[in-house]
Amino acid sequence: MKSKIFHTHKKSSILYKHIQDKFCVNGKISCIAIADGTTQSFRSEYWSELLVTEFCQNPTFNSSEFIIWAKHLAEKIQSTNPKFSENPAIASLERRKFNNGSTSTFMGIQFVSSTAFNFISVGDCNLFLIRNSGEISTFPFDSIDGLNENSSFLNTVNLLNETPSPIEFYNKEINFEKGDEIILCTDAISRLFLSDRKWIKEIVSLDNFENFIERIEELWAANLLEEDDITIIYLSDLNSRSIDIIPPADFSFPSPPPPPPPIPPIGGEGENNNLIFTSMDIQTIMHNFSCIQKDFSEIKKRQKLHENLLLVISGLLTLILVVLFFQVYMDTEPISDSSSTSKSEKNLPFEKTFESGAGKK
Amino acid sequence: MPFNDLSNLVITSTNPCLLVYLVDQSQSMQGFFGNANHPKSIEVANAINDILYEVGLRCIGPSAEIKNRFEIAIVGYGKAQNSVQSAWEGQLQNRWVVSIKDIFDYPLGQENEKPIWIKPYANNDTPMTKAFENAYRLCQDWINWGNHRDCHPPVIINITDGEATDAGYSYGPLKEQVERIKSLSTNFGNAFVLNIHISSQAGERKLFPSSLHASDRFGNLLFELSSPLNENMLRIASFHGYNVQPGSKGYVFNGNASDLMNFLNIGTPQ
Repeated sequence: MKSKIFHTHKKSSILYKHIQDKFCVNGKISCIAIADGTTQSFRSEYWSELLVTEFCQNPTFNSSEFIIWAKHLAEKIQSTNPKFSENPAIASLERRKFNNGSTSTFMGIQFVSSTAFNFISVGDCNLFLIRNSGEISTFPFDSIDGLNENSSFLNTVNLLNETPSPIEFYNKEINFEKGDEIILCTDAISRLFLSDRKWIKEIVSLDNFENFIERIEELWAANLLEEDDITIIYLSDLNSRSIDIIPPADFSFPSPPPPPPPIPPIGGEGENNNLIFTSMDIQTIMHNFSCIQKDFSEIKKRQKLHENLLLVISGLLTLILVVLFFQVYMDTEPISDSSSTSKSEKNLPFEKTFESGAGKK
Repeated sequence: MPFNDLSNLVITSTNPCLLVYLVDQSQSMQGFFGNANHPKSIEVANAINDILYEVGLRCIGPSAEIKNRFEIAIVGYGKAQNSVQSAWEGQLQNRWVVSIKDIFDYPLGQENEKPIWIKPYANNDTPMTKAFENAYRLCQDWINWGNHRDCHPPVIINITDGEATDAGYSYGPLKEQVERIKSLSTNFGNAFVLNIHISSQAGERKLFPSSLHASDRFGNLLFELSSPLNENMLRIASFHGYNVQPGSKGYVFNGNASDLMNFLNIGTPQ
């Protein structure tokens, strides 16, 4: 069989080594497998790699036997003692992920004759068989909805449970004819191919890895293709034994521009400023300033109130003094007017008042 | 100008999403949920700590690195008289918006082998209008920073058990603040405002309704002010077993502890 393998990681993974899609081709026994480790599960790339490499050594297409075989592999994964982060909060996340197990979808085929191959799959990988006549058959899903509705997968913890949740297998023997072509795909590219069959011919006709990456990036940019790891194994001349386009292991996407720091530095470039403020620091400072401003305005208000109170009090005191003075003056004047008083009497107004009061009686 | 299709947007460290949780810390939060044996304030603090942990699970990479896909503010209101403050404590104290990476670098402590970040409070009145005003300023500043216009619009989730004490008789100031937030937008749409009213009483629950004519005047107001659930939120709500349809709003009345956690999950973009 003549194979072309298109394999790349999602941009956000940056380096090829972080790809969670894995594949294996064993020409000796005409066996091929692909697996898609799920991003959210614990180090799923190890699980998906173990599945494809072990399957290509010892393939099985019976679902019961497959479960026993996969359970044995799951034991290997779950019995490891992984080293977790030194950050306790991150270690807690890793422990939780480890306890939830590693998860992967899977598809494997093996040619059993010059006109038939065995097929088994779990999850949303898909196979496209392009007949010599141009007709395209798909297994197991013939629509995007069908593919999306399938949520089955191989999870290490579930496999080790005494009564694992049901795993939905698709397995059958598929016949083919001379001139037919077979394509094995993981989920994202399967959706593209199911959306419009024109993409199948366009992608598999690409003749080198650089053109493949260029086209995939265009499809990502146009939102026609979901940004995910991609694996396509295209088998054309089923009697040949050549393999093209093995993706270079050192391939990496350029690092994305660093996200704007949540904390923007202040001060011009080259400025030797040891005080680096962050946007949140600035927010905090602004917040503190506004608090101080509020406090100041409160103090000002109170000061004004105190001033006004003082003014009122001094006004009242003045008024009282004036009233008292006039009262005294008014009370003493008539006495002064009604009797001729000496200078010494005028100097004793209260005494005089008393006397005058007594006099009135 | 029409918005870009939100369903095509992938939240990444280059295009993060802002989540703002507004947490009622008023005195009435001392009351218990229907059958629960914790005060509502404790249930809310637990739910917030849990959702932060869940967000962390979505952001951890294969090499145990936390990718800054989310930036999060937790705004408490009612802890002190008529006051609003950042609910972060410990080394994050006084910070408002914190990246998920920093959140996992500086937890407040651990409980049951899980990190925690916020503590429960149930102290004073309910200055909800002030809290929304604060959220408006945070969202506006965030949207105007860097490339954030090319990111998922901010999601504001308000958790309360009562009525705002600073909204006036006609609730005019509160309405105004919430509408201001909802008018903020990125290139992918307007900010989302979701409200959950939790209750001590076993009254009738209203879960993600598309219309509401409740006897509770303030409940009706919060319903009116809540954004409709988007496609993704509808999908998660259905997954959690809620009967939702297009037009269902991000609003729960008389929710219980389980509604609260589901609500936070539904409101957190995938």
